[in-house]
Amino acid sequence: MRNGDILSGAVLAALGVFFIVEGQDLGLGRISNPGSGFMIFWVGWILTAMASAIVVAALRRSDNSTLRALWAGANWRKVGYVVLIMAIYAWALPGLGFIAATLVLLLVLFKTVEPQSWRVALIGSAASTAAAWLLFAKALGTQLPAGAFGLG
Amino acid sequence: MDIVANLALGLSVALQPINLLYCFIGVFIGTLIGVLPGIGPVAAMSLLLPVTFNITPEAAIIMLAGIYYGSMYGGSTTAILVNIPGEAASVVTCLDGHQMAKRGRAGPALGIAAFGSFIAGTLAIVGLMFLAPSLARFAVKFGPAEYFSLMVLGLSILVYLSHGSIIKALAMAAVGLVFGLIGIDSINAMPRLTFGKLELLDGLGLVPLVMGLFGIAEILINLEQKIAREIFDTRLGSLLPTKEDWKESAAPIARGSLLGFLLGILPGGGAVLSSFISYAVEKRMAKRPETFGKGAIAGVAGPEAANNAAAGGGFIPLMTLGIPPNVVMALLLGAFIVHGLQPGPLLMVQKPDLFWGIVASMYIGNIMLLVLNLPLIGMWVQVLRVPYAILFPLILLFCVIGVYSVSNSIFDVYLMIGFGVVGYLMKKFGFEPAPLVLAFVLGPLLENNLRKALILSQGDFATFALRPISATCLVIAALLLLSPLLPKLRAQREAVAKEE
Repeated sequence: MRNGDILSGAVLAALGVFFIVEGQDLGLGRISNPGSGFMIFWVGWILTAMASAIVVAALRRSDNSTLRALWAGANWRKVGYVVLIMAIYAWALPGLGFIAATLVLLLVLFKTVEPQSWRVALIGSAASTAAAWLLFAKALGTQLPAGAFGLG
Repeated sequence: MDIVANLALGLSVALQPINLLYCFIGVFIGTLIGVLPGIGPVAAMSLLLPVTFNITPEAAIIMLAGIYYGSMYGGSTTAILVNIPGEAASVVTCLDGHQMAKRGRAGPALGIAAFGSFIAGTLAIVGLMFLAPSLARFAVKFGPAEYFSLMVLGLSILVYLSHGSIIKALAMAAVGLVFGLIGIDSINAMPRLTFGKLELLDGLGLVPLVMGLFGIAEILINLEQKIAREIFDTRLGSLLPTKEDWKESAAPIARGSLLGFLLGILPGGGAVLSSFISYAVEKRMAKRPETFGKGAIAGVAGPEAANNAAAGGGFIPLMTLGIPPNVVMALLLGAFIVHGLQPGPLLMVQKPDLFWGIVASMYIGNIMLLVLNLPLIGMWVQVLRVPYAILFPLILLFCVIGVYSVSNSIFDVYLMIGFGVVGYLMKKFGFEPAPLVLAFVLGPLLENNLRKALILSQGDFATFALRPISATCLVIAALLLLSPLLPKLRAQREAVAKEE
């Protein structure tokens, strides 16, 4: 975890410095009447201190574990793929509408992540989309995007 | 007599058909998501939060509370039969519960888990009934300084009790505090950290944050691993524990109930920690500790009782002080606020029907759970047979619907996906999401009380030290955070973390 801690500590330290700068820009006010940036500024300092401590502790450790070791034996491509599909789904949802976008999303996920037979994928995605739409849009009155086809 | 009259008032609310229905829906969904690995009570409650917008506050809170304590029941089924905890509080139930199942004693293991949960859940409600009114009377005396220090103490306990590094947990709490402040400043209406985005003026949404860090991140972690699920396939046999089983389980259930209830009240304690500590206590107190890990029924009864009692105890700080002690209660606080209610010392006075209705519904919910869990275990086992490859796209879909329906905003869906990736990386790099989420919820309250206290004292920080309750909270918080510097205490804390 040594390299992982150095990287995560550095990211958090940067975030802490950002909070300090933003807090100062927002205004610290006076002690008798703290401003909008008062808490953000001081929490930024605490975060920077903690992040520095994480980095220093990691530098003092002798193990040489790499970042790659964190993903040893893990199928990270599958993770990246699902995140990408989700982002595309979110992008397509307003245009395509809930029913069309969800049908495609489920079909793609059923067929490509751990591939199911066409029969399972087609029936599964159609039945799940219909059930979700009936439950949320019809029974519970949830507003779902209708899209260009007006289906939602 | 007060208690009897209050309970009667509560029962008159809880027994209304519509509230009974929502209580049933809550415990049913709770059991279902408890059974299913990969979706916990936090994600399920976030998902159903928007659904509660159109129902009465009583029904909404009754249903959401039911999901929470229902999931504690359901989690044990997966742990015993599949050796995969349905949710985090059932991790230790795997150790002896699954061993019992392997030895042909799945029935009694499931039975004692359900009975132990029922007994502990009921005892916790009794405790809540007696303790909450006195604590609420006491809390009326709290001013901004006391509230600020109490929240600092709450966060410190959570950070202290988190697994692994205190420094990492503290860093997460700091990030959560600032994330909670994004949006319009409630005191001078100045937008903060919004980057010109209109969607951020109201602040980051709790639901996308929680769904991302807990729901999506959990799915991503599960996806990269191959989960070997071996469902126990022989007949369950009788679910009723034998006389001998009861003899061995009675004391662990009693101890687990007390321990869980007390830890549930503490901020940061909660169901997960109490089940681990109960297991450690039972192992230490056992006449034959060598049987633990090989199917000791006390190793199932104690932790299952503890996690249910903790679920009940967690309601005390929320309902009497308005301070959520854990992430689940933070979501319930969100539900209260959505319905225009502010939990705190005045809730019991201003809305006694709501307060006592929720308490009474928990009695009823516990009885429903006993009925749901024992005869319907066969059905829950069938649910477990659904492969994860089929299940995860559906969970993802429910997460999207849940987040979208809160504010009909695609921006929130992107936020959830983003937080999902952040949560996945946090797990990889050894950071816990719970301190971040609790600090996120407490952030605005904490800042508000800090600023009010400083305005009232004209900038004199001594106000925090001169008020006895505030000073006590801050001293305990400082001791907790500094304790890892003492080698002996650090060793003890690391031992607990290791056992977990």
